[in-house]
Amino acid sequence: MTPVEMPLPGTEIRPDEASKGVREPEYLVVCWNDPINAMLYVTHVFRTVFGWDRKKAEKHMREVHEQGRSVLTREGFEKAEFYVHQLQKFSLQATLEPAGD
Amino acid sequence: MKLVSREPGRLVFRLNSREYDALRAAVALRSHLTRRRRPLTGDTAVSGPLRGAEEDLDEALKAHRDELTTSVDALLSDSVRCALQPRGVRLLTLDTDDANLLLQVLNDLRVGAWERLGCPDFEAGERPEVNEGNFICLWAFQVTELFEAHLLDGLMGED
Repeated sequence: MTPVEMPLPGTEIRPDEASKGVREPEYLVVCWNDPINAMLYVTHVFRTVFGWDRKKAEKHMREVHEQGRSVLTREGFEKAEFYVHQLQKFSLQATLEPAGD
Repeated sequence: MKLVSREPGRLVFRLNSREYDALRAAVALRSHLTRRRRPLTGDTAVSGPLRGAEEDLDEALKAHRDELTTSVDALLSDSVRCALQPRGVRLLTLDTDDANLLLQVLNDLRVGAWERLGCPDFEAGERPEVNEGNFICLWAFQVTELFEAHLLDGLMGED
């Protein structure tokens, strides 16, 4: 009979240790400038979709307007996709791209 | 269109009969002024999960558009939420969800009209010439912008 290796008393086997260090790829949700959506509208959409206060929403709106784009959040694929869907429902030019780590 | 009452989560607007008719006429143009959407990634060489995601986005936006059409028609026909007053005046009572729904529809229309006009850059001073082919789009663009401004004033003023 082959002896079975048993853990020593006082030690634990942690199932997650095998996957330690493996993270889900992350994506950036990006909003792009366009000449049609008003700044007030964009601010409102950011507040509605992300629940941001006015100050944060306006900061990102200004980035979109002045720099051409703003990275709104960094998420796993499903959540990033969800946010892009929500923004596009409000007719904003939103895309997602790999975070590139 | 005038904001007559604002409480947390509830806005009431007063529209005269001409404004109400204009709003309904604009909303009725939705099927003729569908807007294009930006690709999910902006990258033509998508593969794997991203290609499937583009199709998902198409389906989601189409379903959302159909849902919006049904919902906004119901809202504007609702005898409670869009109550008829003497002399054809309407009192439009909106909770936050209704206000955002109407806002989405109006902006959708506005963007669709702008695309049909050839995407003029108004900030840069571009002005499309009015002609038989585009005057409806110009009208829709201007009217939706006005209604949007009133809605945003009501929504953003809640801060």
